[in-house]
Amino acid sequence: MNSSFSLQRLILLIKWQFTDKQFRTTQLFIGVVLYFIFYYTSIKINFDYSVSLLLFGFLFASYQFTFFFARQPLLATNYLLIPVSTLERTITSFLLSNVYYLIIIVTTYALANLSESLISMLLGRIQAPINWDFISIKGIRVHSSIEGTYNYLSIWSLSGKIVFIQALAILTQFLVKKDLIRSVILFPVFLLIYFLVINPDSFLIFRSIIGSSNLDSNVTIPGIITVVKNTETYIYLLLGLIAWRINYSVLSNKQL
Amino acid sequence: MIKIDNVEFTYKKNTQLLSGLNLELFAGHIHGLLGKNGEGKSTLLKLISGLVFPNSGVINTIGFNPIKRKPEMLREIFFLPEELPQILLTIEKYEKIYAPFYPNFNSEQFDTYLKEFEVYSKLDKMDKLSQGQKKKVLIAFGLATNTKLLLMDEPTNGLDIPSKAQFRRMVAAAITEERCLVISTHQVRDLDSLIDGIIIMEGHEIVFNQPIENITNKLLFKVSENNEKDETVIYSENTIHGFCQVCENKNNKDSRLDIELLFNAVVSDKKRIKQLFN
Repeated sequence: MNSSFSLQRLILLIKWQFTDKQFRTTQLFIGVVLYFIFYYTSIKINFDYSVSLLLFGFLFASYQFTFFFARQPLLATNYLLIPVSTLERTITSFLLSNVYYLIIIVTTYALANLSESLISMLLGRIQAPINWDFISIKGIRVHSSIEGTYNYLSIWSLSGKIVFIQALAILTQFLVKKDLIRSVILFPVFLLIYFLVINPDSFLIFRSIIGSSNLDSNVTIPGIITVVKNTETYIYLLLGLIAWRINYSVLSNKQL
Repeated sequence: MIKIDNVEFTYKKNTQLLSGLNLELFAGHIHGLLGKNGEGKSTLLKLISGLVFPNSGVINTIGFNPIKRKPEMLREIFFLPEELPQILLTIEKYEKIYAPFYPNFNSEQFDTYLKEFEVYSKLDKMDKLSQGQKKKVLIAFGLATNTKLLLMDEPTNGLDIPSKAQFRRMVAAAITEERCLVISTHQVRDLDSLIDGIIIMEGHEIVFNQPIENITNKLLFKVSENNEKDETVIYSENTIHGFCQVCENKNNKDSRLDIELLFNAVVSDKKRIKQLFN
């Protein structure tokens, strides 16, 4: 059996992580389902679509290693002594906070769409066609009523940002030791790095609070925008992978 | 099994917790790690298992550098911390999730140990159990992992009197030539007739590390009606039975080791004890 990586150990650790985080995972799942349902049953919610999903993911990832900054890190003892390698720990964490989270988004999106159709049918409204564009490469068009601009959003365009921001959420927990105050300060610092340095134009978090956006799936994304969005996604994926590599090094040197 | 060479460890910049630590422990033995609170007993166990890293010096745990936390090393170590984490699983589920990580885990042994501890239902949720019951489950699990190295930090804390006796019987039965057990405790009476080596930490260093046989060869434990302090007496304390004394065993007399008395003797006169055993 390889010292650094074994698929069997990886699967065991994923099982362990799932069991340990059952409650948080269920909370997240319910949260995202409710969010989509509210969104799609045309209740006016003044939150940007992508920001909300990124924040959900950030919170989800933030719960993974909170035991590292507990005053008595008993769960951290448990975690660090599980007979797996640091590489397997990092991969499991990556899969849980990215791949699994994206699966949750897609599943809950589909559920919300179906719920919307069902509710419309029950209320005798005109039944909206099920909108699958968000989970296709094509994406949906998001309109910001304040700025009067359009943005195109798909699970693909979100994935790069998710990989990057989840890595930051995990890194925060590794860097903070037994000090909740510092962690509370560090979270917004990382968020600011994200919003100001990496993506200054969108500043989505503030826009989401004061603005509103609508979804429109009937407009085809122009080719040039698709290229720009793809490049942006690739850049985020690259930055995200670099951040995850840093996470691996930090976790290797993590002590109680 | 474990070799520690000149290890220094500090938690914070100005507080040296362990300095110049040297220790060698062998398989097939149960070692009692004794010391006052805050002397670094738990930290020593954490250093051995790779939960914390030394500032300098070298540690070898079953052939591995513990700071690498290799799976091959971790699957041969079971660490029972003093305080137990909140585990929101049933005993059965706990076994199902954790046991596959340990290749030598024996489910039948686990069931037997649980029964011996009078824990009859594996469907009980662990967070609903008392601290003592939870500890019994984890001791039973740890013994059933059949790891080469078992590290137990205050394992008898929270156990009732019959369970402490049961613990001693189970541990004595579970130790093999390939296994090494280190029990850190300040409840020395709980280790009576269980351990075969004593390590004492004092002043952030190991001041005493001897097998029981050696101790009873060189020291005589006796109760005297009066406090006669001849040259052989190293330590004496007044009890309701008389004066309990630790003396040099110049005439090779047999006596029963009193761990608590030994600890007090070592702490009160380190220099003389050191000279005697060197």
